Amino acid sequence: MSEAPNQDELVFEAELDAPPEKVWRALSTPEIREAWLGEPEAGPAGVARSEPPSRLDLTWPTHQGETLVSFEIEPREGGGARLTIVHRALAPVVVALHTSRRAAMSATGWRMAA
Amino acid sequence: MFESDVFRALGDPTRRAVLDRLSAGERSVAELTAALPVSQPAVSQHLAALKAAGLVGERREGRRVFYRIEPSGLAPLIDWLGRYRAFWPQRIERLKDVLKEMDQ
Repeated sequence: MSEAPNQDELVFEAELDAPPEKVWRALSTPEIREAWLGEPEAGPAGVARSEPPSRLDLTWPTHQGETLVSFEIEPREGGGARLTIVHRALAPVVVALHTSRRAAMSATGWRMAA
Repeated sequence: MFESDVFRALGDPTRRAVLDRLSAGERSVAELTAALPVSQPAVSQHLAALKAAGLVGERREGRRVFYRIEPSGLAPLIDWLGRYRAFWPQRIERLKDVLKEMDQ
């Protein structure tokens, strides 16, 4: 599993030993999904986009505001699946984060993962 | 203020442009208006929203007001990123366990 060096959003990639259809079931069936993912911290998750068996977008309310989680499932050679998770705030925070990064870092000691 | 105001305030392109200008240093409303394709009342309105969200601070010098970025205003956003950077790897491990337990 690896995290992409991106300042705008959180991106995670995982190689799974299960076929895409099975991963899709684990993501899209609410009871199964809750078993590993749980519920958002500030209200119920909502389905924003559903394209079986490859793409599921969930709205994910946080204490800081509304966010969106995109799951992308791709087949992997050998029968497994690659899962990509992109988590972003629904407001495009890119520019502000980018332009204020230096100031924010000096104020909080925050560093981006490289 | 509510923390979600930060996401809302950053969601507007003009407000992000204002922050972009302020990232170079403090500016007056007139200076910001000259640099942006919007009216002075509009700039003032956006500055008020950014101030309410804790993203912008002001300094008065006689009759003039200068605005600057308030780095601590981004703390909720940074907090969000930090928490979910730890959250997702844990959830992916749990997903792997659940996939093993599921029938084929």
